[in-house]
Amino acid sequence: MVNEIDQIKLKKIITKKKISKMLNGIIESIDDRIGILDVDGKLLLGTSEGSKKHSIDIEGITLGYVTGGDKAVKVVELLIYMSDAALDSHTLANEALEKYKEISLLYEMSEKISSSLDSSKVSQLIIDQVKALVKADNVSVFRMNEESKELEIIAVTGSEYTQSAKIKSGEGIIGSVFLSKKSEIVNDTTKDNRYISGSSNVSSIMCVPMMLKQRASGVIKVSAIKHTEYSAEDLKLLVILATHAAVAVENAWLYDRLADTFFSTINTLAETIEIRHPSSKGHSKRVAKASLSIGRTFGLSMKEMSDLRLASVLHDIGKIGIPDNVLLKTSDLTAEESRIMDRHSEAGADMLKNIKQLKEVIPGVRAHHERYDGTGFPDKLKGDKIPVVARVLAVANAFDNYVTGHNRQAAILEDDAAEKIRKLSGTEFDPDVVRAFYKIFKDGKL
Amino acid sequence: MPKKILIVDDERPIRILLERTLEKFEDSGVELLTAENGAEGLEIIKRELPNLVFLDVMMPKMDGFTVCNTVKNELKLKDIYIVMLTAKGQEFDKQKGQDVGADIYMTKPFNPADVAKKAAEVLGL
Repeated sequence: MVNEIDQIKLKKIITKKKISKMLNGIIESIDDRIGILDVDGKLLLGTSEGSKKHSIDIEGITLGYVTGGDKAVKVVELLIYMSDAALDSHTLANEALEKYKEISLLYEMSEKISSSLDSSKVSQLIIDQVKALVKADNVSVFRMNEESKELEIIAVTGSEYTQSAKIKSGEGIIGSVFLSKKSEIVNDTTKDNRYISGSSNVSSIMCVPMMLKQRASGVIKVSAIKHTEYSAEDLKLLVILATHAAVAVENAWLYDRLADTFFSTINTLAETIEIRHPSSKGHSKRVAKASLSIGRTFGLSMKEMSDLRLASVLHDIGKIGIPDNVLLKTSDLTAEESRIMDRHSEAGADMLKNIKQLKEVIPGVRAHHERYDGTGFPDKLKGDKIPVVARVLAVANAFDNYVTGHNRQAAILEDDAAEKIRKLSGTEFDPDVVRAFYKIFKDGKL
Repeated sequence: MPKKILIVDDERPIRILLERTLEKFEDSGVELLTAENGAEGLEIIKRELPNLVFLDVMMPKMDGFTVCNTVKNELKLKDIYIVMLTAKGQEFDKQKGQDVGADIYMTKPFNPADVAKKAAEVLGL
């Protein structure tokens, strides 16, 4: 904390235009041999001829002097009063500015931390924020795993803990803080018998629980290798940060669980076809993997990649409406049976239209049998009127079909399948997609 | 040329606190000036040609955007660095800020460290 008295300079107080004018007027009317000197004896106002020297003291510190006769005492009283007022003003201003600083940091913190649902981003943000607030060599954020009943690392920097560190409730200072839900400062670990060293020793620690409503969801630990005096102010800031962090971490975790559930459900849905049509087992997963490789090379955006993944998994879902005698037929299909089979793209798109979250995936599913030259189905789309997701999916789908041979065609070797796809570049497939596909195929990265 | 900083804000506490934050620059010979409203602020700008101005957006008599626009676009005083001060919770109209030529904006309550840093930067201290 700044020592406010050091900032009170007599010169600054009295040399403001209005003040010096007033003081000069007062001095003239009392006794014009009065002078005001600063603490070094330099004359600030008036004359320095006076006989007596009175000091201007506040809180035991001399700010300056007033010289002159007995009447100079009145000027001393006035200046003491003015200096006191200046000190009050400075003290209050500093207090307010400290609060401003705190508030600014808090706004910044809460904006940043709640800006992401991505667990790894949230973890990094928490660490960055902690480091901006307090001096620390190590920052470790633990979350309680409800199943294993252990505190696990979700964000860490420094050498005290590794990514795989686990702490039991009640174990060490961390475990103790988790149980008690009370924040602690331990500036000397040698004096605390709960201290259990991590991968490296530390001398000073601050540990705060992350609280969600009334329960602790984890712990944030900050430590310094060399002895440090962590203050109550440091702890306060860390506690506030932990409040934001607890919510952000929980949200990111829930979002991950939600995404997991969603994808598991989608995969299960896709696999219902494969259960009916055993020779196609694993097809949707393989096509998804190939599609994503091609998509990455082709330079699709994050959103397109996400749509591609879902479209790849769900592209044959429409086959659910195809009767067994057509779906499982091993000999050639009649014209009518072909028509029924071909409807699966449209049927799949129709099925998905009631699931809001899958709206963006529909075009990819509907158009995965369109041909680049416009002779495909169901809409005879041509060239780049075909959604890019469908163009990539078409190649990945064809490759797996050729190689596994489950569509009434004999399986062919991978190299032959790749060649076949190249030959169909421009007619069935988008030449750019084929180029991207061929590149990964040659590199063995399909 | 002596360097000058002007603080224009209708709220007294903000003027006091900004002055306190920037006080240390006085030791380097910088002069701190204040104004209570936009009109007064504009007057002082024309007369004193400060290097840096902290300008509140919401003020009676003349708001910050008008002052900024006059200084930058009408008077063409492009060398005056203008920091617009906006209240937290009021989405700063970035487009408007750009149109009137504001150099940067800061939210109130301001971060004292950011204010001091910006002043040092602009004044070359």
